[in-house]
Amino acid sequence: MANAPTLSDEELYRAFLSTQDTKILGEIYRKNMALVFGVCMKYMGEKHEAQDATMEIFERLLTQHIKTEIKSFRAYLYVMSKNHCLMKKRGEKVIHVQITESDMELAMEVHPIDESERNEARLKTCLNELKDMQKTCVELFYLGKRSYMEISNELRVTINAVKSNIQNGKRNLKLCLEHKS
Amino acid sequence: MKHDSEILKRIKSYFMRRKSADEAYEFELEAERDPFLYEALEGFESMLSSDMQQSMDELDDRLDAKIKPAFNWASMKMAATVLLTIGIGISLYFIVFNTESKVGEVANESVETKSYEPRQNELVFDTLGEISPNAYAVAEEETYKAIEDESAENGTYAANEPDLELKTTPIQKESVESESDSYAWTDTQSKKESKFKANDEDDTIIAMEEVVVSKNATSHGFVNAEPASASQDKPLRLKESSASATVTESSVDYAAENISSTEKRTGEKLEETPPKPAVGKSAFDSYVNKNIKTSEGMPRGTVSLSFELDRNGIPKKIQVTKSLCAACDAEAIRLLENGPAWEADSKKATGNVDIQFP
Repeated sequence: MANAPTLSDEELYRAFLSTQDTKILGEIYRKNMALVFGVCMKYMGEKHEAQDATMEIFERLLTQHIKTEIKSFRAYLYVMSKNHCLMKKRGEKVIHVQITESDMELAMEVHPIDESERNEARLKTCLNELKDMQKTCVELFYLGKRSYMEISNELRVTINAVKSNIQNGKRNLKLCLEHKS
Repeated sequence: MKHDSEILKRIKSYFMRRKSADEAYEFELEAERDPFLYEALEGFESMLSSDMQQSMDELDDRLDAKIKPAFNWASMKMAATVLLTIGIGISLYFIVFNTESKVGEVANESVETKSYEPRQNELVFDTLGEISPNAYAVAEEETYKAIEDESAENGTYAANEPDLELKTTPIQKESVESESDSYAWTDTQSKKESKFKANDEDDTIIAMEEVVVSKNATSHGFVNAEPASASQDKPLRLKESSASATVTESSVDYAAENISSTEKRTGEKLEETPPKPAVGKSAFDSYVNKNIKTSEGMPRGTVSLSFELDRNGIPKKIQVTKSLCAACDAEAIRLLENGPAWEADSKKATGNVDIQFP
């Protein structure tokens, strides 16, 4: 997995599981809390609700103990945050869903284009099958190494348009690659 | 506390466009590879970076409050101190206020009755040669009026007429003396009168003393507490006796010490009572019956749960002490978690509940 978090988070989490020391969990959580809050902001859309959700997720971490070994605390936290916010958003009572390994793997799956060793030849053919705008954006970002801002200035579209074009382009690219293999 | 995690710094600096195009690209590439970061950035898009920081600072404090139970205890101590101060303040206010109103009345009387002679003497000594009898009469009248005003204003009198200043000063002194006399009188009087009003404050003070005294209170003291031992189990009566103890004033400290030690004992007894649903046992049962989700194949029986309460009375650290089946256990936990709040006498109460599966 690219961008694998440092080992210490997992080690600390294991230490928390054996000692039940809330301080340990608190420190791991504090390190990642900005990300949790950001995700909550995305789904809840309102600051105070997002803050409440962020604290609720911490409480769930305190009480809920995953049965399977956690390979990546970060992935676990991500899936949990997302689940919690989505359920809260839908107005459902948030129930404890056991997060499985496959959930985490799926969530943290790395796109072929983001992998360090990518099959350039196959990527090229699939890239050519993309829609114009998606192709341009993906090429500029991944091959041209331009930031969203630069692409946005160059193409005279909004940053959000650039981002969604890259996202959609990547999705189509993946479908194409899976189809071809 | 200021939240200063590495990731927040990077996110802020990205949004504030402090990074060069290359650095921004690196960050974006990282986000493209990391959906957690990507989605977090999407969430932060709509926020100002100052707002981001403020929100994170607030969250940091809330996190602190959750992971440091000692912090809560400290704040409880703070609250107790504040309450004690307020209690003393209120009782002082009542005593002073009552005294002042009494002083007003008493001073009025005493000035009118007592201060006639000195005032005349004063005028004879001071003003014989300078003021004509006519002016003397006028001055006397004016002085009298001024005194009336003065006592009505209860000491806030400020000499407006320089002529009268000399003459009224000794009288003022006199009235101050009578004031202090009457203060002593009204002090005891108001103590008696405000005995019932001040009961609450006395209780607070006694209760606060308990905090201090109970540290030193030994079980030996408790055994010696003959007057209070009769009312061991009745905090109400305890308070009454403590109130009377303050009125009699003899060996107050001793009595208070004994009482507070007994109060502590009763407090311990209360702590041991298990938490119960804030809505009542029967309401909780009907909540369970109404919301319990059973599926076919679930066995009949009970799931026993133990739990702790957080400061809001929400069950936490739920553990199954008697299992029935995996689904039943999960359902029982769900019911308890989403159910009504509980109440307990102490903060670290551990409760038990049985969930019946029909």
